[in-house]
Amino acid sequence: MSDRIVIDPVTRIEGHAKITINLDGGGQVADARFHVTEFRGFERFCVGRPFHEMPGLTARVCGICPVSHILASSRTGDHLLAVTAPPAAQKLRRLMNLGQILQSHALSFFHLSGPDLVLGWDADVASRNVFGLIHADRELARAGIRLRQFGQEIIESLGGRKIHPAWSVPGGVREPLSSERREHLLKRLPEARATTQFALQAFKGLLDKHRIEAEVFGTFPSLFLGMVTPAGNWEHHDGLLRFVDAQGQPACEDIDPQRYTDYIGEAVESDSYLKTPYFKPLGYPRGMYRVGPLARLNVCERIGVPLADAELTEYRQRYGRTVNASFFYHHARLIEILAATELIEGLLADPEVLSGRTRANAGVNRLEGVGVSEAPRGTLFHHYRVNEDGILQKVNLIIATGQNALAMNATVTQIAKKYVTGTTVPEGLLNRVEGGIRAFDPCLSCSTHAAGQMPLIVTLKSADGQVLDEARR
Amino acid sequence: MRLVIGYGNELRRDDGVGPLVARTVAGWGLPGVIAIDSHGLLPELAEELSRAERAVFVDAGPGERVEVREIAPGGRETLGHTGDPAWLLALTGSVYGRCPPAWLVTVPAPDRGFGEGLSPQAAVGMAAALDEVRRLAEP
Repeated sequence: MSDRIVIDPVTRIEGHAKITINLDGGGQVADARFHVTEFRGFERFCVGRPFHEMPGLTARVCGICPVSHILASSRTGDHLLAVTAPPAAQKLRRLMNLGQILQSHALSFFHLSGPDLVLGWDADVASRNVFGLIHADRELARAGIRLRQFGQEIIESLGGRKIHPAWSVPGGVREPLSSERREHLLKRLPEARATTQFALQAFKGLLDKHRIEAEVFGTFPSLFLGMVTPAGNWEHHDGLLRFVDAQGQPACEDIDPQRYTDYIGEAVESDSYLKTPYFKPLGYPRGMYRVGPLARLNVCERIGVPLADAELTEYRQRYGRTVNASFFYHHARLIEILAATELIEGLLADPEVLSGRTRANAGVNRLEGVGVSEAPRGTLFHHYRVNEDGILQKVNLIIATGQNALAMNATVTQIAKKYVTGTTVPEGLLNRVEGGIRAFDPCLSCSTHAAGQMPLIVTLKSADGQVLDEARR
Repeated sequence: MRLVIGYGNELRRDDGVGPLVARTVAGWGLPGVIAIDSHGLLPELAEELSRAERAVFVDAGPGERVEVREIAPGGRETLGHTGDPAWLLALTGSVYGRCPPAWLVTVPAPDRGFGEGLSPQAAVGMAAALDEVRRLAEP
């Protein structure tokens, strides 16, 4: 006899997805798949539009990370125009990206994963949510809200609005930063930094509670991809691409983003609208790789700012130089928030960020361009081909969550093998499967370029494909 | 301080009536009134709400006329795609220890298709909603 377990919806993630766990004839987990069941099709319906519309169009892929798309699209536009954005614009784009990373990571940690980390995986489902978190630690919850708000304020200060700011464009940005807004942001920085350090201490204090989860939430060897500076430091925008293996050894030379297709291929699976990128030299599916905070800390030599580097040193002392356990995405996320506060301070202190020279103008000078930026969840690629009039002929988007697709499958399988037995699954076990997914902080709206109303389902299937059980929250 | 929060998606035609109302209220410059236009109801609004003596939410609604109702904290317990005023009030109370008395003003929104601008019915509703908001926001 075999069974199908269904979790529906997977809660506290951005977007909607389905998990299928297949048991074999002996009632043991044979396989588990994470798949996304919705399709939106930005890559198709954007064809025929002028490329300069793409920052605004692709920002609408998602309400959580529109900034990431705006910036990657603008960089693509820079290449099509064959311009270098003015220094002030480059710094302002970096400032906005750091604000985006900060607010998104804060949302992930405090609102989405915090209830599990603080309250525990077996806590009553009625309280294992943001309200339960508030009840358990009101100060932590309050600080988390303020921290995300700070990131949103950076975005709003630059782009005029918190969601879908129409500000970064091919060639630069529309508006400079005012000195009043700069002063306001500088005043908010100490609190943001203190909150992050508070959260880091809180997280380290919780590690003993999650020893088992740390071992089974996606602990396996894989490649890792992230951006680095030419010196090998942590980078979040306009850097080189670096692949390392599970031991931290380079898998290839550092890559000019314009040549990503030499190293990244995309596979399509029949049961998901989530495309599956892979490292071409190893083929599919051996070329599985992970992106996002865990990967970025694995590929870099150092971050380059003192407080975050001190945390990175401790992190590597705890878990190893190259961390293969996906559970520690949570820790990596907090270190990146801390790094963001330090880098934001450096940018705000730079007088050039107040310059009014923020845009380079040109016509179409190339017919193909690639823009890459580190979104909070991982490396984001925009690749456009245009005609002489700048009308899009082809669009390819490679999204962070898609690049983590194979790893999420492996994570779900590992967790299911550890915790799922029989056909009746206690709440805590289901939540661990979800928790493994949440460690990646997937953005499913982006990765299918979709958002809809379909919930996440975990389905337990028999060997002959019959649905024996299904969980819907 | 009285707080007016108008929320909705301005690229879905009448769904954008909430932010339009909020920006109009902001333009009045009423003493002691803060008006916020927002794409959605986010947790970050809780702090501002905690300091308000009264809150008025404005949103597109399903009815055929402007409706005003008092709302109490409560509702679902998770952060979903869209917030609702009851949830935000509950979050505010939980995190900050208090939340203000609050009302929800809904405006008829027959057209939520893709695009910008209000339908004639929503435009008429907006005018009526502004009268209600002014009444509720008065000291």
